[in-house]
Order: sequence, then structure tokens, then C-alpha cells
Amino acid sequence: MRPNETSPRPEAGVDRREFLRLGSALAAAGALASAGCQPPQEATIPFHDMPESLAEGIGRARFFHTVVDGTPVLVRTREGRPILVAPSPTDASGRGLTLRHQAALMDLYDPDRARGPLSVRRGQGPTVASSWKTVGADVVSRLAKAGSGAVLLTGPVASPALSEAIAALSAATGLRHVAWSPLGGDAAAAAHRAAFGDERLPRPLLGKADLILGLGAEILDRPADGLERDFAMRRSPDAPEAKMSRFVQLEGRLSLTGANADERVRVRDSQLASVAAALAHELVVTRKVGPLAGSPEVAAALAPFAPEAVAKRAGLDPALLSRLAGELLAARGKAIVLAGGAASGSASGEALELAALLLNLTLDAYSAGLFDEAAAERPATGGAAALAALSDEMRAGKVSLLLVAGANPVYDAPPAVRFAEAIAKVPFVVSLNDRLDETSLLADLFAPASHPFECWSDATLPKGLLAIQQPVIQPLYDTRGLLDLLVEWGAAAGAGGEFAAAVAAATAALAKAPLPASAAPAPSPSFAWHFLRAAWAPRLGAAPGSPELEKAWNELLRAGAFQGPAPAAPPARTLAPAALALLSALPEAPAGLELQLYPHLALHDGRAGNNAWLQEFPDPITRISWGGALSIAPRRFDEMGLANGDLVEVDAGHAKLVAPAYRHAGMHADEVALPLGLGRAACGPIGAGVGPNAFAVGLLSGGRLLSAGLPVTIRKAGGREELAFAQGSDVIDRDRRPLVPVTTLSAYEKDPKSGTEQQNGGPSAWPEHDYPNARWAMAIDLSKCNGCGKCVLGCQAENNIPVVGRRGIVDGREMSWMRIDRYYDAPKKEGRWDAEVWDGPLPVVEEPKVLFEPMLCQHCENAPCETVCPFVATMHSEDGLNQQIYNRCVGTRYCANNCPFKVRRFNFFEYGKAQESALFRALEPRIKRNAELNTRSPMPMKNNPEVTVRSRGVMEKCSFCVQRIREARAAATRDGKEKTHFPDGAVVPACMEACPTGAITFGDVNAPGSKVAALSAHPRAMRLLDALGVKPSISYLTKVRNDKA
Amino acid sequence: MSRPRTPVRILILLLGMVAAGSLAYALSNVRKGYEPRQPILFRHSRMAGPAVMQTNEKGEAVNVGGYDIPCLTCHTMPYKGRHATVPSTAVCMNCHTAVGLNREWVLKMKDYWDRGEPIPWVKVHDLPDFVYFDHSAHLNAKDEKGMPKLPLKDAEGRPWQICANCHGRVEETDIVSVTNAFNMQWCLDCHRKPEMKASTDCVACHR
Repeated sequence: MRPNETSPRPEAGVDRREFLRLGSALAAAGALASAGCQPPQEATIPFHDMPESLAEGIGRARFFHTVVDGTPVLVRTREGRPILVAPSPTDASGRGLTLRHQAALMDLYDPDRARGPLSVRRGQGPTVASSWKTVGADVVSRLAKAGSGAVLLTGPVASPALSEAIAALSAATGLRHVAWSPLGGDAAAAAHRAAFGDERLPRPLLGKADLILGLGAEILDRPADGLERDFAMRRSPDAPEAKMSRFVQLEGRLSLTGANADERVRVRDSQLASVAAALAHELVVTRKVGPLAGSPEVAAALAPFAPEAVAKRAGLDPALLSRLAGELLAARGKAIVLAGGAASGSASGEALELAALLLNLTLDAYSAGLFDEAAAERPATGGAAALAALSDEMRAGKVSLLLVAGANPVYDAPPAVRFAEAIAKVPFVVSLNDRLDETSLLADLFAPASHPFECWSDATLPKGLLAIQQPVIQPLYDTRGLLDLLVEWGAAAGAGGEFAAAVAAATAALAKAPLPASAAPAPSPSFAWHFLRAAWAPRLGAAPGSPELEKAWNELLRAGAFQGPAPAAPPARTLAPAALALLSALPEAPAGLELQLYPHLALHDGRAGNNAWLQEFPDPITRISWGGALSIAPRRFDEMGLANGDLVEVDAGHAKLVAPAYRHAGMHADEVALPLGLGRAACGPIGAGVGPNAFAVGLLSGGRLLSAGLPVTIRKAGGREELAFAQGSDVIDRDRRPLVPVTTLSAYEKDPKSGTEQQNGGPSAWPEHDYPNARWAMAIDLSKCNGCGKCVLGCQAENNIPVVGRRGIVDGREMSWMRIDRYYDAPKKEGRWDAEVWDGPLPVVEEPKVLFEPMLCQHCENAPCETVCPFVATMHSEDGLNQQIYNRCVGTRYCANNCPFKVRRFNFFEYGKAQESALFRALEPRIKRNAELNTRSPMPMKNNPEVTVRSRGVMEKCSFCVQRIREARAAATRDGKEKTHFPDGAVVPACMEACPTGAITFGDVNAPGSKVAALSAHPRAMRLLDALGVKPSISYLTKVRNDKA
Repeated sequence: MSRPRTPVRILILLLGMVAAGSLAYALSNVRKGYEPRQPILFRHSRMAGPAVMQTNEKGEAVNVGGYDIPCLTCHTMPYKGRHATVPSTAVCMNCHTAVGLNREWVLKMKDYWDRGEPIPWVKVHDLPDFVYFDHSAHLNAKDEKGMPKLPLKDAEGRPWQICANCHGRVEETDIVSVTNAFNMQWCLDCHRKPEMKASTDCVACHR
């Protein structure tokens, strides 16, 4: 039939009558269908008998102080489930929260933790379920037989009660205790012991220092010390306390600490000691400064370190050393020198620490009070020497029973220790680790320990403070706390009377259960609780069993910490001349390339290898998530013709390792670096096999574990591994894209607005919004922000943000609402940088100026996303929020395309719910991985019930923690308060809560006198992309670099 | 006039049924009138209703009405938190260790108590999970004169409990049912009243 020919109506056509006939049938069917439609029936289950303490707590968050890993934290719980770990606001110890403390939630809800005792039989045949009764009886009988042949291997022990229990058990049975930690700071302790006869390390008071010289210091990379807070105190040019401090860092690998330096000089780890000694030489010998100037021993020890010769060897400009010495001298009494980090793990680490100590003595840092002697801490025990000795004994057959608790030497001991071989020679091995890890797999019996959130213990903190580790949830699985086990076994083995008493009391309490909750607080059935109470009674000054003890104990739990007796007086800070021998024994720096092994910022020593939040956390410098790479200096990288992800073989002589290569800006040309904590073989499906295990090239030398200055050669191994780079890792030419406000102190003093210059946007086409009442806004001080990323994890926990896995990151499908963009600042150039700038040209990346910029939804007043959404799913609220309404969103993704900040996230998968259809799982393997990462029971227990768990096909983004804003409004209504304006602190979003440096300020910008209003109007404040007229609610305050040498 | 082939008719019919069903579902009021069966026949009128005295055949005065117990005696939390809270069984036992010991449903309740099991009540006023409702924000809301924003009398001017604004006169009913629409339109009808000065931002309820 030709097209223009008239045709009869098509066969399938429907005429009017037919339509009506069908229509009436439809109406009837529809009515029938809808009659049967009801919302799902839900139960509302009340308590059988509600505890009185919960009367006000239903549907509300409750907070508990506890301790994880030696750091006091505040745990937010809902209906008995911990849902957020935040820094303790009342903590006086100065300890800092690290990423792994924040992510402890994911360890608690880890589905791959052991669920009960097992008979592992050294991996021979299948594991068989065991019971605590058999485990206990077995261990106790063997303990009695083994005598001094029994060894307890733990991680560093910071709990006085645990130490006491171990000591008493040792006294009763002859059990020996060995502690092992792969990241011990032995060098600093050794230098302090040699110099002052006291190995306690005083805490540097960075808030008092005008000049900080870092010699490989990693104060920001290892935030457990809590130094980042003090550091940030003086990093703002208009800090009320005093003028801005200056930070000069000498290091081999561009670390997070080095990225925050005002001036950074590349020095290899193995040369740092001699460079530090050369500075001391310049000050003490040449310029005759300080108390050491007259000492012939010091002059003799420093003689080999003439600055010219050292500078030549280290490839430095000799003028630089004399300038640095001049700077230090000018700031004498206000200057502090910090060594440490990975660099003091080199063979010359002790010399480096000693040289830093000499410099501090010379600069009067001790006498001028730049160190807090009251907060001096003994470094955590656990050197490699003790482990190596233990391994030798085990191989010699002198150990008949090995108990492993919280240590994993098969994974993290240097290969020379040959621990796996040694463990095979021990007749009976019991592992008390939390999962079937590398070491537990070689054990006979596996008796899994509880997570710190599930059991009682205590901890010593700096400044004589003590804290209680109280459980915040019942054990999820059939596990026991380490202290509980030791007390139980101690009682059975006939150790001191306090063990038997604790067990008897706990058993009696258990027999009475279940008690009506309305009765007086029941005694706990936990052995550790009774043991702790008995141990703490004298400290609390109350008799056991007395009502005073009850009161003091409850107050202790409420306050979280207890001021114990002040620590012993610090030693006189006068140098013992014998210590100078450390400088004379300085080993030669390796001739060729040297390797540094540094702890992964998030995963640290790899203990939490199965933690998806930590695995997905991008390194702040390399921006690599889900893995790690060998960092190679850009020049060498280009010469070797490598591309990011090309596999490279690292040959350290005693061991070899293959790792993907990464072009790491700011590396010293003769240094390469590998992150530790990756490459777990057995931790669970989330983290197993992610990245290379760098512990495999650790070197044992003279009883120390060397982690830097290791001589290596590298060569292309062929093959490639795609690295998962997170969003935000570019070189930025700020002349063309003024996206980060940066300036120098001298420019700032001339013009406080310098660095905030932007193109003018011209008039707006949109009508102004009217904010008669509160308007929420945020200010981020880039001078205080150090790029640590704790805000990112805080946000992830608070807002139920899923983990997308390696594949998701590679595809650019990150879900995190907040990210820290890392830019390398391209220097001023005649004309302009062309496209090449994005690849990181050598002049930029050899010595990069690093900029960190926390990026989240800017809650623009004229939000480009709002105008393009065809379903009005994103719109403006009356208090200035850019609201995202999941129920309206149909996933057109116009908003994300129109967002100039690229902060909107699209749910490509149903991350929050396991896909049940086997067909879909087979069609898209990623669905299985997503479920593995996010939804396996009990993982969903971590979810914050105040925030919707988003489903597939909807857009999401930062909400300014609207759940906390609404709660503040409800609280104001409840208390009969004004709701037009909110005082500072009424709403604290999760990122601000997690920020250790106070870089983030949030509040009602319309409230008179609010902090955020003052900061938004500050001359340093800049709103991004003014030229577009989007009018963000977030102000960025200029990052100021102190260039005033 | 040709007629459509059977498979096509069936297809149109099916598609149409889905469309019409969805429309009818959207227009119908799915929550109003919902009256689920509870595990225990608890009569609110008996507890919270006014007393009605009658003389029985023996000439004794007996209360066939209620005991006038205020709502907050059992639902303790609506002024303080998000949930009004359903009382724990222990609250029932406050009185029922002494009174009504031989009644069928009291015995059933005691059964739960003796077994240590909570009573699996069925939720009557059930908002979807993406709605974040807070009782305390509604009950504590006051106008300029310090009076509750929610009226204390109904449209005809008869006084009622503040709860009745949404839940109806529960003290007059035996089996609780949903007496209002409990959909977004119904919420907004009130939020949009000028005298309420309530937020109509999406994030007020959805987040």
C-alpha cells in the first residue's frame, strides 16, 4: 500500500463504543482494586516494663562517654543502638579523635566479625563451633600446666585494670605478657631516655609557638595525639590569641602535615637526621646559642655536621640552612622543633629525635614552657625487639601456650620475625582477636573478643586522667570482653581474691536475671564490671558496696573521665652527654632510591581492614580510595614512562612487592613511599585483598622496625591496576578559576581582602528571597582547615550515606555529601597555563602548594538546581535551605548537571536495601557487592533513624543536617522559646561537630551577634562563583600562608 | 466497523485497570476509617470516658461509663517527645493487680505480663515512614496569648481534648479508628491556616 492511499481503520483500532465498554469495565475493576488497598499494617510494640531511665528517652538520642582505642569519645545512641561517634566535648586529656575512631561504628556492626567461639584447628579441615565453657576449661587447664611457657601477646595495653589483671594472672600462673604494635614510636622514646633518663614524651604546645619546624613531623597525619587542635589555634591571621604562627616542614613525602606547611623543603628521610644536626651545629657551634653552646662534648658530636657539607649531601642550598637557623634564633623561646612520623622509623631515627631535642634545648623550648610536662606520656609499649625475641623462643619450642589478643603479627610483623613459622611450633594457640584474621587462622582455638562498645574496661589518659570504657550496646554476637575473660580465667586459675569475688558477684547477678527493670539498677552480670568496681573503689574514695560508691561510680560514667593523681614530676631538661653517642653512630644514607612506609591515614595499621568507611575514605593528598599505591616523584615517574596505576615491582633486597604506581607531587626525587594497613588477606570480604601489604617489606634492624630510609630499587612490572581516584584532585590555575581564596600574610596585612578577588557577576535576573526570620549559613575557615576529612566521615555516619565500593568510585558515582577537594595551586605565569595544567606540569607538582577546600551543597540563594527541576523536587525553604525532597524526585538528574559545585549525588543503585531477585543479582554483579558493603545484617543498625534511607533513582545532597535543625525548632517549641532566631550552638551539623580545629561554623546568619554572621561579613570571606550570581550560603575564609620568614 | 482483536483488548483492559486502580487509590482516602483488630479488646471509653452511674437489679449504683482517666496517664510523652508512646504492660498492671481481675481481656493482658512479653498492639494512626512527625512540636505550639494553637473545642464549639484535633474523641469510642484523613492534604489544610503560622517547608516533615 502506498503511503498516500486511504486505508481502512487498522485492525487494532478502538471505536467510541468499544472505548466506553472497556471504560465501564475499568471503573469497576479500579474500584475493586482500590477497595483492597490499605497501607501495610504495622505493629507498635511497647515495653513490657519501661525502665525509668528511658522515660524521656523514647525517640531521642542518648549520649554516653566511653573509650575506644585509648581515646575518649562520645557515643550517640538511639533506642539502644550506637549511631554516631563524636569527639567528647568535655575531654580535658587533649587526645584527638581519628578517622578510625569515628568509623568504629562500622567495626561494631561488621557482619564479618566472629559470632562465637570456634575450634579452628590451624586451618586443617573445617572450623567447628565451640562454646565458652569448653574454651575456658581448656585454657585454664593448659595455663596451669604451661607455667612460664605460656605467653599472652597483645597490642599496646592502655588500661590499668587490664594491666592489673594480666599482672595478677602472671603471678598466679607464670604467664608472660608481650605487647606488639607495628607502629610504635620507639625512636623518640629512646632519644628521650638517653638524653634525660626518662622516656616520657612531653606534649608540644603548638598554640604557644610562633615558629614550628617540622623534621618529618606528622602531627596532622597521626591525629590521636590531638596536636591538630593546638596547631590550628594559631593558623588564622586574625586569631584573637596571638599572631599567626609559621610552620616550616622538612620531609621526603608530601604528607598531610607537609601540605599544611607555610614552607616545605624536600629532604629524604635518611638525610633528615644530619640536616637537623646541621641546624644544631649552626646554632650551637657557629652562633654559640643556648645552654649547650659551651659544651665541648656537644661541639665534638656536632662537628661532623658542618652545614655546608650536609647541605651538599642532602642536595640543599646551604643558604637555606643558615636562613632556617636564623629564623629559629629570631623566634627563640617561641620556636619549637618537632621530629617524628615515618621518618623517625629510619635507621637514623634516634639521631633525628636527638637532634630535634638538642634544637629544642638550644631554643629554650623546654624552659619557655612550650612543652606541657604534665601531659607527658610514655609511648605505647610494643616494640619489634620483644616480638622478635618471642618468635625466637617459639621457634626454639620454649612456648607451649600462646594466647593472642588484639594483635595480628602474621599480617603486620616484619618478615624477618618469621611469625607464621614460629606459631606452627607452639603446641597450643588460642586467638582472642575479633575475627578469623591471618593470625587466628593459625590458632587451635578461637575465642572472639567483643568490640570496645560492648564491654567494660578503663583507660589511662594524659595529664593523670582516667576514663571508663562502658558498653553502649549488648554484645551483638556470642563474644566476651578481654577483661571479662581474663577475670574469669584468673578466678579459675586461682589468681588473687578479687578475681574470685568478681566472678562470684557476677554469677549471683546472672542467676537473678531477668530482673524487673523498674527495680533499682541491677548489678551487672559482667565479670569485668565487678572487677573494675573493686579496682576503682579506692580511687573513688568509697568502700565497696557502699551507696557512696554507687553515686561516685554513676558520676564517673556520666562525666566520662576522672582526675587521678598527677603524674610523676618531669625530669630536669638537662642533656646527658652520653646521649650524643646516638649522633656518632649515624648510618650512611642509601645511595639510590629509598622507601618510606607510612600508615594509611584512615586504615592506620590495618586492624580495621574490613571497615568500608575507612576503605572508601580517599587519602587527602593522593585522593586514592580502596587501595594504595607506590608514590613516586613526578620527575622520576615521567622518566620511567609510567602512568598512574602501572604496576611496579619494589625490591627491598629482603623482600619484593608489586604495587601500582602513583605520580605523587612533592615527593623527594630519591624517595618512594607505600601506605601501610592495606592488603589484608583475611579480614572479611569488604577489605580482603584491597591494595598491597607494605608490612611485607618492613625491615627488622637492631631490634627496631625500620619503616623509612629502606634502600630499594623499582622497575616496571608490566600490567596495570586501575586506581580509584575520588573526585577533587586537580591542579588549579586561580587566575582563570578563582575558586579557592588564598593569600600570603604580608599581602593580607596590606589588604585583608586579598585573595578573595573574583569576577563581578552583574545584576541578578531573579527576585531576592526574603528571610524575615532565621537563615542558616556556614563559614569555613580555610586557614584552620587542614584537610583531615573527619567532617566527611561525620557526615557519612549522620546522614546514612552508603558506600559505593571501588567500582563506584572509578565510575565517579560517589555518594558522599561532603568531600575535601585537594588542589595544587599553579603559580603565576606570564600569559596563562594551558590545558597542560590539569596533568600537573613539573614546575607545579615538584613543590606543590596544596589547597584543601571542603565542598558540600552551598545552599545557594539562586540555586541553579532549583530552576531546572521539572518536578519541583528541590526548592528553597523559608530559612534558606535548599531542600531535596526524595518523594518528588524522579531522577531526571537535571539538577546535578546544572550544579556548578558538583555536590549532588544520584542513587544509581538501591544501596540501602538488598536486592532479593536472584535474576537481577545475576544480571548486575555490582548489586551483590553493594549489598555486601551496605546491607548485610547487622549493618543497617548503624542508620540514623532521623534521616531517610534513600532508594534508587533519586538525587540527594547535603541538607545542612536538617534533622538537627528541625529538632532544634521542636526543642524551642517545647521549651516555649522564640523560633525566629537561634543562638550559636543551637544547631551543630555533623561536620562541624567532627571538625577538630573549629574550621566550620554554622548558625543563623540573621541572629544578631551570631558568629556565622560575623564570619560571613569578614573581609576574608568569599562566596564561590560570584560571577554566576548563585549566592551561596557558605562563605570560605581565605587560606593565609605565613610568608614572613 | 472492524473490532479489535482479543489480545489487544485484553492488553488495553489490563493497562486501563492499572491506571484506573492507581487513580482510584490516589483519590480514595486510604487511612480514614482504618480500624484494625487489636490483640486485646481495650475500650478507651471505659478508661477515659465520663462516668455514667446506673442502678443494677440489686439496687446498687454501678458505673457503666468510664473512669475519666486523662490521656496523659498512659500516653505519657506527647508533650515531651516525638512519640505519644503506648504504655508498657506494667502501666496496665498498676491498677489491674487490684481491679477487674476476672475480666476476659484483663486476663489476656495478665497473660502477656506473666510471660514477660510485650503486647503486640497494631498501629492505628500510622504515617508513612518518610514523614517525620513530632507530637511535642504540635502540642506545645502556642499563639501570642500563650494559648495552644490547636483548638480546645470542635467546629461546633463543644469542648474537647487537644488530642481530639487529630485523633477524634477517642474517649467516646470503644475501638479506636482513624477519624481524619491523615494524608498530606489534611496536614497542609491546618499548616496553611494563617493563625497557625506553621511551616509549609517540605523539610518540616520530609528529610
